Amino acid sequence: MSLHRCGTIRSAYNNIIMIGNHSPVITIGVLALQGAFEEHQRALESVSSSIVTIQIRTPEQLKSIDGIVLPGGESTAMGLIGDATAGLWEALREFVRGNDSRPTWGTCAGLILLAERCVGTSAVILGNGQSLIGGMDVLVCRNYFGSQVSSFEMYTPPPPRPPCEGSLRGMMMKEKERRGDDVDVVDRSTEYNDAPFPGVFIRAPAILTASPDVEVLGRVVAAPCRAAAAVLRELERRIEAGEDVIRVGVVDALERRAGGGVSYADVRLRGGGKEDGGNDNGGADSNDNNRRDEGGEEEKRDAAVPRERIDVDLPGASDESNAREVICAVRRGRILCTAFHPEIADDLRWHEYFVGMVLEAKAERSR
Amino acid sequence: MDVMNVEQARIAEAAGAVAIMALERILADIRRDGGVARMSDPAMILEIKNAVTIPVMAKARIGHFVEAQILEACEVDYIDESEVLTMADEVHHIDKTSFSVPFVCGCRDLGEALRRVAEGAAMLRTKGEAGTGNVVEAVRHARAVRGGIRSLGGMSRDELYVAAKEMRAPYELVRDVAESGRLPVVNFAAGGVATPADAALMMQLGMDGVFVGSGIFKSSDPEARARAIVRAVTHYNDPRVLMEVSTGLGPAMVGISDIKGDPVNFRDREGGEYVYEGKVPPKRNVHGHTETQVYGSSWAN
Repeated sequence: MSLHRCGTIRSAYNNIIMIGNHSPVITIGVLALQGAFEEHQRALESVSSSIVTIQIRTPEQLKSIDGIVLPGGESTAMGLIGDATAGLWEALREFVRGNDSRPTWGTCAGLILLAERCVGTSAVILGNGQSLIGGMDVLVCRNYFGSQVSSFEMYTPPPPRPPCEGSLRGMMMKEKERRGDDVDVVDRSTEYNDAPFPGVFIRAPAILTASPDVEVLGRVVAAPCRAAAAVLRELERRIEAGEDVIRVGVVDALERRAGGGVSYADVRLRGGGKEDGGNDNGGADSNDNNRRDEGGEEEKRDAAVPRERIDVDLPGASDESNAREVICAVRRGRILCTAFHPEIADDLRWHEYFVGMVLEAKAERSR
Repeated sequence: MDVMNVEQARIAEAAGAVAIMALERILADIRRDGGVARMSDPAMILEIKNAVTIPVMAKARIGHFVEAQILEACEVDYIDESEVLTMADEVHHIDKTSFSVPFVCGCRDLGEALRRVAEGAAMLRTKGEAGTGNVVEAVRHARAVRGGIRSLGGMSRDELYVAAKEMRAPYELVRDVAESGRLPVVNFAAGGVATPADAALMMQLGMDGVFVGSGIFKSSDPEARARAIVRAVTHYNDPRVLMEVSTGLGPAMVGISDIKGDPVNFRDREGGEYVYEGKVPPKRNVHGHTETQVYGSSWAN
């Protein structure tokens, strides 16, 4: 076994030194229109020294990669920035869903781009028609948990075992042997462990429903934020009216009083309908945020979801009675989606899982 | 992007902004009109939050932790403890660790950047000189931060102690920066960015993103300029795209070329040490303009 040091420090983050002067085993692209693409690159390159990542900004760059990560960020901005590059969305749709599809992983905003149905999307995206990629038959509620102050970290179910025979390292070695490379692989991939995964949710979307052919990999229970609850109420209204909902834009969630005061509308789902009688002191501005206070606590107790089941209790949530189980990780074929941000969790298991998907797909494609 | 109402917020969102700053007055107007500049009306912030899906930021005065508490209650996504508002405390900045909402703060050099990080800032931006449409100060600050990081890289530990003392920043942070070769938080460009080329310049100088304030809504075609600047930030390394987006935008904001001669100085406003001797210190002798306009304060410190 010949060990060549090519002397490149691949990633200052982990000081992994690339061993071997051959081409990488796999190349993974990270969509770099906006958002946490550098963090994903660092995480992927930490999984193994034989993974090379590149930033994807144009359709041509998709040709050379074995899989792609659509990172977290602002889905509105990504949609619009992508629109400005001719042919990008078409090329990505072909990459994700075409005959020669390759593994795709959407985190947070990336999940929104991949979802077939999305509610709470920006009005400007709605006006621009189709700019989402699609491919994952789920209904996503954008920004379900609320604004930045409602960001949270919680344990989520661990990712499944990487989808390949034997270890990731074994797969890497096999792929190298197949190509006749005679080099060692240094990687950090570890034995599978099933400890809960620290999920970091930042203005995160939630998956409300998934079609039967989608494999659900994780769930959490949480109440939607007030803006999301207004969107969900609109969604429920449309579903009741028999509409096949693909998209719902932002919904006005404010109540304006004559004196110039503004407050959040009382949004209660699932036949709540009870009026929030308190807190009406004639339009004072200071009333703005009283609605989330503990005032109505007693009458909310009898609501649909018992308190013990609520995993996440966030500031800015609409109402405990709106709490519901939502999905935070799914897979369908070669598409993987997570609502949280594994790239900043300091835990590489989801990245290892995706690398496994890429290796598996690469082996299948080369057969 | 800085916006003053729902309509401008929608324009910014439609252009591809990743966040907007809800302001009562655009910075160029704060410069011109003077007076005490304060936090925006929560009603306006709520209306803007309600209309767009991207994060909404708002500014609090330096040291005004109650404004920050109010903004946190509004559930803004980030708070900018900003030197362009009139200072509320000339010594202390807000203890940002006691808030759950993340803060962004301005910096002129590495020392100031690390002082703000020590106070709990989750993000930084160059101070530049807001409302001038002149990128020169932002460039100076970006280079100062970058140069500071580079010079730490070559220092031994005994030199780092002195460096920390001289830059008035905690030693632990200075050491971390020396070891990692980068700031512990993201750093944006702000203060004077007016064109796509300005934005790409700041990105090539190593910034993680760009704040554009007066540059957009003081220009002749805000929508086109906003879109162009967004594209320039994404493709900052591709001169062909930059050429394309710089073409035919109409006149940029007029701006101020003589920043040193301008009576308003936002950038040097920072809480600091001073000796209080039981009386208001004598007014500084400045002709023509009040010292509040010049230094953000009539107290010498």
